[in-house]
Amino acid sequence: MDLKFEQIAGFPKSLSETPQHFCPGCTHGVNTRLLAEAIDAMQVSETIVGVCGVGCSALLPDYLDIDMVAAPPGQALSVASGLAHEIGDSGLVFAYVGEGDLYGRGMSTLMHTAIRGEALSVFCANNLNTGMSGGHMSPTSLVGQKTASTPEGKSAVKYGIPIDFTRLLTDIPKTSFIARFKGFTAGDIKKGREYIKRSLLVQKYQRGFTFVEILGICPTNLEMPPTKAVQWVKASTSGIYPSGILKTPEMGRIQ
Amino acid sequence: MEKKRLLKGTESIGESAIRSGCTAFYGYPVPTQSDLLEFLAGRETETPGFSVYQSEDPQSAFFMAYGAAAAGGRVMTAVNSIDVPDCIRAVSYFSAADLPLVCVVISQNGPGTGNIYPAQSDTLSLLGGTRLGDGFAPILTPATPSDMAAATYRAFQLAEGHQMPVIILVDAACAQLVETVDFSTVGYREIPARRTPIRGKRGNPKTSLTTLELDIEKMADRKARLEAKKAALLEETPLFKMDDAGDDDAPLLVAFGIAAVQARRAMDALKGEGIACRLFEPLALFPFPEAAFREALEKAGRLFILDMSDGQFDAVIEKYIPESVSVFNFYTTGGAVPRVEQIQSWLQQEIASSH
Ligand code: SF4
Repeated sequence: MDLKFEQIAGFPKSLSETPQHFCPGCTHGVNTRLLAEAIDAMQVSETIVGVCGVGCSALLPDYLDIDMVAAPPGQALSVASGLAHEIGDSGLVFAYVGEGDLYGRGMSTLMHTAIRGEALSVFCANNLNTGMSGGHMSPTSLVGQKTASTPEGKSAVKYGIPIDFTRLLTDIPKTSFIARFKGFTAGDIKKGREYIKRSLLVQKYQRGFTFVEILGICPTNLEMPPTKAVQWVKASTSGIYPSGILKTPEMGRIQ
Repeated sequence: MEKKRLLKGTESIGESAIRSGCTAFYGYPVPTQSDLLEFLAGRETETPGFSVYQSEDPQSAFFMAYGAAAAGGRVMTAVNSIDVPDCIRAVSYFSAADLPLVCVVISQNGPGTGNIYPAQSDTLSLLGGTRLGDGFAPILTPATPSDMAAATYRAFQLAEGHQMPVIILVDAACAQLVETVDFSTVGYREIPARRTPIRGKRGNPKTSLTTLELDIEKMADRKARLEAKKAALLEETPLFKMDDAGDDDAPLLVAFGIAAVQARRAMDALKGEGIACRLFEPLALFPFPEAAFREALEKAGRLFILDMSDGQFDAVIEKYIPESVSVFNFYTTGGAVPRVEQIQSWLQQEIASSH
């Protein structure tokens, strides 16, 4: 009997073999792989350009086997917009940026890039702190969360109550596909891979501004083992940063 | 395209940018430079391959330009004095990334919000600031709309030729000067692109463009490369104008921008009274036309410096001035352009008393 084997999993073509610098248990590694898998599945590795922000995502150009440009703090989406203007319909542009960079210094640029409806797929790695700087408070840090700059816990009196930035984007007319997933369990990751693919697909065929937030962990700065960090993030963010699709080009705002 | 057009300074820069093959202008409207954005926005539809984008703030304009330049665009931006810090930061990034950029800086009066009247108080912040992290950028200083057309083409040649950012520094008075610009004298030729654009691999090995460099030796290599570029830049033809109305030992004036325009007018008036002067007008502050300036100074016993700051231009040129030369200064600050009669009587007085 002839056995025919079909490869159903393997090392993604668009992932380079360079060892990654991410701390053990960090979800940036998972995210990087998901990006590579989506790029492979869409067969766009020859025409896609990625932009990374600063901090722990800044070495992404070493890990993906595609053309990439690293941006200065807060300016990832400006750089991505400029690339998209020049490249036009002949390629795709995505940005992978941490939430400290995107929702902090980059907030105005994020809003205006979305309002202009630039043809971009934006992926935001939200791990509730500014990882690379040494675990300081970020715009999504939770009330009471201990960070390097809020050793007694983030004060609601001083810093207010964090909001769901992703939801803000759903009200902008020219945003098309918006979603959030947690990169923790096999089920979550499978869903996340679909979201990333869908976001690239929407950009390819509908040229809209798409946005996927990936809720992850930074075990180093949370000072917890990865499993505990996952439990803590899941338990403490469920009401604030819910997973799922928030907006699609077909149905508009869903959540 | 018409050979001659009646244009003001900023418009001449815009028109010349299009003729130099500029593909995108990224601007943010702030007084004294926004008429460049307006002019180019008006030219967009009739110019295939050229786009204008207004950004949400000056910094984003620079970094949209950065992305577009990385993808092969020939880009230009503009700021006024208040946003010079954004320009400096951008120069640092474009330098590190070896990307071409032409940035127009219109100088107005500060500090703080100041006013929209002209000044020349960005000289030291640009000369020093563009060295942030050992980056650098040529700084061209054309004064008239015709010189601005030539300087803009030169700026794109330098930016593409050396893959570097280039600044065109114009004061708010020169930005508004109007004259008929004869573009046929600029001698536009197609400027070849010198870079592989980042547009996806398209069959080639991947390209990564990052200014992050964790390796000390590789960072030292990057600095050495920048040093080599700077050395090559210094080999370029120095940019200056020399108005020789007198003998070699006639009093020498030095000024740029609107101060040079007014100095030239005052010189013409003085000629009628039998007083001959010479004028040295640098058309770049970096690289400064040092050899030509030293040569002009050789026989001049007296140097008259005109400037619209509290002496920033002095600080730039003092190192070239021999001790044997007597130096006279005329500053206007607050936004006032030196009037021709003021310059005239200052020169008359100083020349008479220093004989
Ligand atoms: S510091 Fe945090 S976000 Fe950065 S690599 Fe380590 S675990 Fe990941």
